[in-house]
Amino acid sequence: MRIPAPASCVLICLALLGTSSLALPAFGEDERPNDEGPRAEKEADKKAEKPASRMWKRLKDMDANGDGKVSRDEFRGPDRFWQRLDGDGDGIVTRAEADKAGQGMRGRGGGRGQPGDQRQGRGGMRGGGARGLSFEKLDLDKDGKVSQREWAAFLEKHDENKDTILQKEEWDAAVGGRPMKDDAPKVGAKAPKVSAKMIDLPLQIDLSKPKRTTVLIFGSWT
Amino acid sequence: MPVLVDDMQDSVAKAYNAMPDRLFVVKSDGTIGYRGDRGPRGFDVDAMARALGEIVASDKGAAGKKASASKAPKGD
Repeated sequence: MRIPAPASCVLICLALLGTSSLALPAFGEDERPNDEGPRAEKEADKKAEKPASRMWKRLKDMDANGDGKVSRDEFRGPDRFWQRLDGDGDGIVTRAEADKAGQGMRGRGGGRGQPGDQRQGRGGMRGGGARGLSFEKLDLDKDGKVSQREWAAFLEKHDENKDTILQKEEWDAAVGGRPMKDDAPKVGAKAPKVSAKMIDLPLQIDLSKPKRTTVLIFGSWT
Repeated sequence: MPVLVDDMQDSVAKAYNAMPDRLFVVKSDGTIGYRGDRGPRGFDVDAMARALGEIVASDKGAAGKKASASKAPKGD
């Protein structure tokens, strides 16, 4: 990942414990990245029929050898994420596979795959589609069938204003899952008074009192 | 690039609601200058870079005005 950094600011990477180490390339304050690659790719994106998907934008920084594909060795992420991306299992993720995986993750419907597939972790991907709905959730008595009574129970459960009608907003909340509450500090608010320890020095840094403009990069890859 | 480590209670990550990955810019006055969406899909380096450029430009402008004001001759 290349982050353009003006000399007047500081970049701080925060490695989130629990899922091991941070994997970001070192980037000095006074370095200027070689913009030819990203700029050329942006130009190509403009000319392309479709803009680069968010998924490919995220992955392309891992393409260390610049061959336009991400190999398993280049990939810096969890195995379960790789398995979703590498559709044909050849150990290489192309842009097409990344785009397809990104669309699939947005629109993954309910009732397919194992029940655990629809779980949503902290900070998980949001998106449309029937992600929160599954056959198993509807089949209350687990007889392998969804009866009229079970459908009625589902509708009643999600009829939040109890008007016996399922509005589109109620349906979206039922099948897509509600957006997770985001308690992050908003723009303009005071930075939280927290501190973190430097990884290589016995120093505790108060992140609420930066001496210069500071970029906080939170990341955790297994 | 300095690397910091959160504590075992995820204090910083919780304060910033930053799991699994996220970008913020904290301005020199201690306020939030940019708040990215939660990653991985919301992890947008380009958007952060644009915001950072605006913040730095604004800081430079403010610093320039301050310097000009301090050099201006004081009236009697």
